Amino acid sequence: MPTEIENLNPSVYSKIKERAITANEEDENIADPFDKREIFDLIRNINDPEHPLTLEELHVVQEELITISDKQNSVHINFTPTIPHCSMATLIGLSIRVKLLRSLPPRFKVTVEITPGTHASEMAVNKQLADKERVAAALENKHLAEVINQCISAKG
Amino acid sequence: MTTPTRATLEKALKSESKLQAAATQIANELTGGTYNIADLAEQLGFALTSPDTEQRVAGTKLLSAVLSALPGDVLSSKQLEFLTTFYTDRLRDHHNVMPAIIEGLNALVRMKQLPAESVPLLLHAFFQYTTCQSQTRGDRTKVFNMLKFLTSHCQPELVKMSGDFLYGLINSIDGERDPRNLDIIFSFMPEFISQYPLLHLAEEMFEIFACYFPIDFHPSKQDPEAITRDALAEKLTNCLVASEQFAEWTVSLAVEKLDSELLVAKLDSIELLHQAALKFKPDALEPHFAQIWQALKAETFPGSDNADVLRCALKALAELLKSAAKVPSISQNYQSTVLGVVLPHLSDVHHRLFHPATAISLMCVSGDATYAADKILNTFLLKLQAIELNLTCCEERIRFYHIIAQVYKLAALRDSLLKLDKTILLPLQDDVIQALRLCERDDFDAKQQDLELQRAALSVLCECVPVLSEEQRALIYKALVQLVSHPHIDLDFKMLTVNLGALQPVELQSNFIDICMRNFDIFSEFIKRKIYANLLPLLPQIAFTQRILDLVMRQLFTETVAEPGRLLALEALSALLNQEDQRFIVELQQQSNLLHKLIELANQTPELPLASLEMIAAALSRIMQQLPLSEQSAIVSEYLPTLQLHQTAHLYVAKGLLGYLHKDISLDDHFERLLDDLTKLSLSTDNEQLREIAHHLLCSLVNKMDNNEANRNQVKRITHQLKAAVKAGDERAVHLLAWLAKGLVVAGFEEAADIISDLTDLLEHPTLSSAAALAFDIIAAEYPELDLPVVKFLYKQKFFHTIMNKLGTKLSSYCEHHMKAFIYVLKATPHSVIRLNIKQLGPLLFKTLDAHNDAHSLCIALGICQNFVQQQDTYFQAHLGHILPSCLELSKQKTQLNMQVRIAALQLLYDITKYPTYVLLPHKVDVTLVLADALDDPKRLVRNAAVKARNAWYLVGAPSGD
Repeated sequence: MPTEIENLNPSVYSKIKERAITANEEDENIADPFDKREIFDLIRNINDPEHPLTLEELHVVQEELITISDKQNSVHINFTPTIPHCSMATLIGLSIRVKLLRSLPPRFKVTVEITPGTHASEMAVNKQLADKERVAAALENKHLAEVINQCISAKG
Repeated sequence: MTTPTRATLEKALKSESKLQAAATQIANELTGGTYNIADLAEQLGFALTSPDTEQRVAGTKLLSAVLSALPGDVLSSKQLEFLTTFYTDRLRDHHNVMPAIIEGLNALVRMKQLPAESVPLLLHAFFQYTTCQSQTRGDRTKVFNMLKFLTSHCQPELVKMSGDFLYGLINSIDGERDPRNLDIIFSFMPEFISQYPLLHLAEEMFEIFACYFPIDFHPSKQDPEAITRDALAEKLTNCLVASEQFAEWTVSLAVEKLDSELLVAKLDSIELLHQAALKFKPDALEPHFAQIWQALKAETFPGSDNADVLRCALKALAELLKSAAKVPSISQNYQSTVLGVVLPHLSDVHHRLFHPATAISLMCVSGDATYAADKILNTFLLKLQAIELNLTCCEERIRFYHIIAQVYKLAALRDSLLKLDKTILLPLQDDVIQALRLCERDDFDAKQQDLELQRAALSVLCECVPVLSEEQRALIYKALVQLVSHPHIDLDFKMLTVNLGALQPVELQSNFIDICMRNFDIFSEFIKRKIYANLLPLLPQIAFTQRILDLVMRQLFTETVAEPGRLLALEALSALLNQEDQRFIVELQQQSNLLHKLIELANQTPELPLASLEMIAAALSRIMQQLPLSEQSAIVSEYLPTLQLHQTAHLYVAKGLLGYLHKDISLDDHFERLLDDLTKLSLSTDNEQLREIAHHLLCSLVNKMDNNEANRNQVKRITHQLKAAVKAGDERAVHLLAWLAKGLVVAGFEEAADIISDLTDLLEHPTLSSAAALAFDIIAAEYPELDLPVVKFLYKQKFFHTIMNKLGTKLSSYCEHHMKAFIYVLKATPHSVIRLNIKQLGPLLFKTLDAHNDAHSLCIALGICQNFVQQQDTYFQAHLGHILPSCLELSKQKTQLNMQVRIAALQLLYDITKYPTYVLLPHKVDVTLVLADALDDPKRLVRNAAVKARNAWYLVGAPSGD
């Protein structure tokens, strides 16, 4: 078993605390705009396909690497594979995409890309993730859908 | 009666039932001494020696049945010897006779007078002429029961048989497959194995058990008393660790099976190792330790996904290290192997292996605290010395501190705290104290720091109190004084002061408590509160009790104390009364007459603010509750007549005295006046707080009143008075009626029905209908602060049924206010009662969900639905087609409804996904489509609930969604 895992002892970081509920959020009359933290909360609990750890704990996704504009309906996410030749990068990217597809209103245009300079075949993966048809096709594949569902079905 | 003749015996042999009847009769006669067994044998000879197998079977069966029915002490040793010879010879007989012989043998070995030398004879013959495994299941059970009996009663004889018996036993068990028989075998064998020399047959003995490991067995569902897999597994494990000779094989077996992919096999193997560690001596296991550690390491470092496996593996490791601790050389050998692997990984908190490494090192401490704790603390010390201590938040240090605290705690539990190496502990504690004292620095900004580091430091200091040096303690006292007098920092260090107080009372007194008290008056409100919070937990320690009490009392009753100070003191008094036990409070009252002082305080002029009066009332009722009945009664008759309830202060005192008064104390003399005054107050005042007190008091009073004519008439009089007020359109009177009804309903008085029917009529009133609906909420809801001691059995059910009958027709036509009132009642009705009536209530609930007019009742209705859905109720499952559209509609934003409704609806949608997939699949597409709207809700909390629900719905029926 251990020989199959590419990165045996990755660095693990602690999770951030649950978002505190503010008085504004409980006030019916104040609208809460989408912000970085909300997007981060959506994807931070996705499981890594290799380890029983979340993407947040592995610093694959970080709050600083998310840009969002509520008014212009766009979300941009950079994610960082733990090692430059990680074969799971596409799978991780796909999981993030699918989770957001199910969790964000359809008005948003979501872009998921690898943080520049952190992966050997960055361009290829980015291209795959940007291709709607390929994402849809991947979800038709039973095995792939199974792995992705496992990744995103974790607590939360 | 004489010996049975051949004719009667022949008749008895004809059928099974006749045979049993005859056997019982013969046994009775033999016991009575009418004739003896030899006569019987003679008469029965024709059958026992008949050339016809059938007849021999029947004859032997009769004899065996007689033996089974006989008491153990009837036959003499001579007779038994004769029977032994007979049965030994019979063992050579035809296979068909065997069941009867086994029954006979089983009875024979239980005879008290059986000569010792007969047992080996019987067993030899048995093992020689027959094989246990060729018998039927029932007969094998008898054989095993016989062997079980023999191993526990005839030890010396069996030991003499040595290898022969063991060999026979092993042969008998080998190949057994029935769980019932295995249950017997596994139950008696551990004791046998541990007491008999196994000779050269140890490995054979081990093998007959090892082949069952791990147990794979699924009991049939129809059998309610079936043997469970886990029970069998536990017994088997006992067998495998029964003898020290098994150690080598047991370890190999466990390690081999631990490799399996099956969860059950893994858990069983780990449990086997755990038991091996418990049963085997350290030196028996030592040669195999490397093997065990390798296997456990694979499960714990970095650890498998399964939490159970991880937990059990750590437990097994801890047990292994703990049992080794008895022999220092072995223990150190183990510890250095384990720590050698994990210690290097303790230095980087960001590594994946850090967490597993801490878990394993804590197990090492729990095994051999002195040795492991020194090594681990030393590692942390080196690491801590390498990190610079500054104000920027240092996550690494915090996590180190938390682990160090646990190491200390475990060492203290193992009584080794004082044995640890001081040259490691002292610098380590210096570091922790420095971290705590960071907040004394001028550039420390209490508003920005989250104090996490200081909290972690305090958790270490709490544990290391016994090993602190004197200088370190001095620094800590200084830090504590700083902390307590700091204008912004609010840190909880009660545990530390309590621990210090227990060990160093004099020091704590002079360095901390005295300083707090000396300057008490000049401190700000914030600091005073902190001082109270930290001093009160010290109260039970006798060295400080009087001083702390004096402080509180001085602050309470000195006239010069300014107002926020007194309120603080009152809060402290409340906390004190709540934390102490009855004996302390009764003593306090007797020594200082606290109650009287408090009442005087409440009555002083100028009047105290309401918050202070509230605290006084709370303190009074706490004291009253603890006093004996006679004193309670004396106090009431002393103070009650003087109280003028229209005065605010007096009302609060009344609340304190009467709110929790014991129900056996009669208030009949004051009842009329109290009812009148409180009613008048409630109807006249506009102050909601005072009205609430009056309502609670009234409710509690009528609940506790003696059930006599006079009292009931008083209540009737007040009810009439209120009804008149209601006619005049007074909303307050409606509320007051509801409170009266509440007290009466809970106590089960009949007068309640009258008030409730009035309230029901009011639901149609043009102006008072909303108030009337709310009245039902008042009656049904629970108020934890309200004392209603007289509780009629099942009153909630009764109330529910009354209301259901009263509202019945109105409900079926769905009148708005009636529905609302009824939903309030449902909220307080026990779930089981609603479930019994769900056929009638279901349509009502669904109607409420569709009505969209009142957020509060919608929330209640959704909550009730949620209770049902969470328990996978079948009624709701059948009506999903109705609930789902309603919930989806409610999840959308609407002006008249609030976010709580939307969140509750989304939560219900989420809970529904727990139903079986086939029920949900037809709705999946619709639900996921509609939920997309809720994802764009302006409120974030609603969006969160929508995300949760929508993602769950996507997983319905998806590949490996669960």
